[in-house]
Amino acid sequence: MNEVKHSVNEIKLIQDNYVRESVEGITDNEIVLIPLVGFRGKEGYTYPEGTTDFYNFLKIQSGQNMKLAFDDYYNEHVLHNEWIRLAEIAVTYVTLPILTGLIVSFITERIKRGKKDPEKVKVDLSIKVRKGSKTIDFNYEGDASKLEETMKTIKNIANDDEKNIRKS
Amino acid sequence: MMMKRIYENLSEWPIIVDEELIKSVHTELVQAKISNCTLANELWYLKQFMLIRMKYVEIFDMLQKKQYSEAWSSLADLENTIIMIKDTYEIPNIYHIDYILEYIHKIQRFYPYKFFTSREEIVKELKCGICGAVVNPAKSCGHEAGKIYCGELCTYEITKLEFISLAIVENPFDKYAVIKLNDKEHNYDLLDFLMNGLSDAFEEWEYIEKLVPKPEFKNAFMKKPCPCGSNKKYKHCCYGKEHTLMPHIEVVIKNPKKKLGDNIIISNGLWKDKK
Repeated sequence: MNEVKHSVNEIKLIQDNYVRESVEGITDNEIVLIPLVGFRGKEGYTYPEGTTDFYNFLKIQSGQNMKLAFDDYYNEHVLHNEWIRLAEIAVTYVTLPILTGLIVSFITERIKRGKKDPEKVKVDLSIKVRKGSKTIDFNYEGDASKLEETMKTIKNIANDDEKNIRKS
Repeated sequence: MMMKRIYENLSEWPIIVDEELIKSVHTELVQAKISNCTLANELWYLKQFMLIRMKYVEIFDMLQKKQYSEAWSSLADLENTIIMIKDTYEIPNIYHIDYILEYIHKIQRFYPYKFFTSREEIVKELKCGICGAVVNPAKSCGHEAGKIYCGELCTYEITKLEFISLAIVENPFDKYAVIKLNDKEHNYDLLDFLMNGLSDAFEEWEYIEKLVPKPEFKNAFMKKPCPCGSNKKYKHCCYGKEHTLMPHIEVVIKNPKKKLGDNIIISNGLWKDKK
């Protein structure tokens, strides 16, 4: 909890074709939302409840092209409790700073709108940052109140890893 | 002229429920939908504000009649409505809608409802309430849930659903599904205590939560036997331990019209045996 987990992975190892092709093809002016594949062992692709709001928010605020990695049918999975769960987001290293700022704005707005205590709201989010043939995958599960520093950490890690990937 | 009456009504505090005016707004709204979408949208919001204020007074009345279960659902309904509207409309403070939301949350704290059921499911199809199109953010019909289109609220309707499981949770997405037990009933002592002190829906009050020593530990002496019965000295036994404390809520009514009851100890938590 409250820790940013990250790892560097090869894009070619992504099993699902739709997800792999979407990540491979991502450009500097795009934000792609990645579905969960096989939620609770069920076949198909699902996005977390409320992804439509998140998608529209990013579309309006980012000025980037928005895409769903799988857009034939839009299914949502609904989970228990009040966690704010965002669909996994894929961007290039160039777009990451825009995205991190927007995630903070979106969550802050949601909390303010619901008049909720930011200390009690939990967030679950994952970001894939593409650099060449690899992605830096981030995951954060924890307090919404720590989101701003979490995003700074993600940017710092992405900076360092980007240099390492470039060297290698 | 009509708009002036509406704004005046919405500025009244305490609330004056004018059912005739609400009916007139509704009639005006129906006409505006045909001829003037901007006016229709504004009338839709104003009507909602009047209904929210009316509903708040009704809920307080339910609470005073101890219809706690029904009042809970209505509070949750009202909370959801206000949160949804706040997303798309800058509500003037003078309408007291934020104030109502604040008091909904305060009242909810006095309920003994801490466990709820929550569904886990896959929503396989959502349809737009305005145009009937299947919702897909990547192929948007142009309507967004929660927004008003020519005096009509856009909602998404779930038309296909796969149920996965049911869980017991403390922080549900919606607050309607309260868990009830066959042989127990909820303990409303705390809510009774609050409602006995309030005269009307417009009284301002606050509550302060803290932990205080349990009665048996209140006057315990360090060098005397511990009140827990261990035969050890208190300072070597329970002193400073968390289990010597109990939650305490202090209610402060700003200008009380009647006296709040003396401090009471709310016994046995959330449930009590059915009478």
